[in-house]
Amino acid sequence: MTTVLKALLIALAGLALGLWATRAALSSAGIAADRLGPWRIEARAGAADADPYTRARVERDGEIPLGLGEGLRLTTREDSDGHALNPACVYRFGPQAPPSRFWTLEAVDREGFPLENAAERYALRSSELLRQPDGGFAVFVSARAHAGNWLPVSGTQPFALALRLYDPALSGASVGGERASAPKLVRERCG
Amino acid sequence: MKAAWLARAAYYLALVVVIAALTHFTVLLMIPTVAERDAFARVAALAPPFKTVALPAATPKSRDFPYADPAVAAAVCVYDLAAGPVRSRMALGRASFASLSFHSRRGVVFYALTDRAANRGRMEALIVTPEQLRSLVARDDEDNPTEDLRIVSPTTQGFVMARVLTGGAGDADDAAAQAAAMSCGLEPITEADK
Repeated sequence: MTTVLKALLIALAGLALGLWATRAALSSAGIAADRLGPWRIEARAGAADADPYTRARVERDGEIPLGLGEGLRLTTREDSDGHALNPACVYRFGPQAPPSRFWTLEAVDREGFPLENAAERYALRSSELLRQPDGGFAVFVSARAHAGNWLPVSGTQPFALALRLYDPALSGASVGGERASAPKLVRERCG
Repeated sequence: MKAAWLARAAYYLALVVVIAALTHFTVLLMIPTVAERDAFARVAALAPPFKTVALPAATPKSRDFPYADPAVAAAVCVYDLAAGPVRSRMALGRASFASLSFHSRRGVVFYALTDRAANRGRMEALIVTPEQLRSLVARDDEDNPTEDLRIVSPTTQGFVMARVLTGGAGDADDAAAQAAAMSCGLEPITEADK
């Protein structure tokens, strides 16, 4: 009787731990992704040979990934110093983005949907930026309206930023040489 | 006495970890085959086969497709190669970026084209099965080579996704119209092609 009970308990504990680990792995920042500064590069999301974690996440969430020849999505939940992104803070994104024909920057929630905001501005396009004479720029990510390039956020939960590079010069495979162009995400102030 | 107890606890713990690892990998590898709400299912629920349907713009309210770009107008068309190859095209407009991507039933992007690859003002591809490709190649005229871009789909069913960047505030409708005008239609292999 005790042996059966013990076996049952061990099996249940193992199952529970395994399920929990799977759930945690799929909702975490991604295990096998390439990184560029704080950014995670989702280059293989739509690839046939993507790692099983990426495949499982994409299938479960119903995302329609970008093809490799089309564009790249970079995502981060942290600023350049490794702090979680907090909507009560002001962040500065810039002064450059990895080379591409066009890019967009969007603030998203944990599930990848845009953040509610009164202005209904969910993404900023590279074509609508105010730039310095040298081509550099600063995008301010904050809940309150900010002078210059402003991407609104809202809520109290930590958020994430999605940077999409269309027709990028950067490919998933050649990330190594591109570290220098990693766009910085600096926390200016909080509260 | 104490050592025996420790050894036994370690043994039980090891069992739990082994079962947990087995569960983890089994579930992980099963998710893609059992996921009922994968991208194809969500697209097929919106769009009947061979009919181009615009996807709802990404907003906090429309929660069907995570990580969809709010600055992009998108349209999808579900195809089925059972009755023959399928031709998909999209005309170029004034948008700064437009692309077509080809997604298998299993959620794999097996090909993508951008407006850089456009020819005569449009992007165009012929989606085929491996058998259809063989029979098309057998019919090819060597003196008059085909201009078709033939793409082999790994699954009989799949969908084409059109993406068009919306520029400023004004031409969001233009971009949506351009994406929605993407076509995908059957083009059966006939004897007349010989």
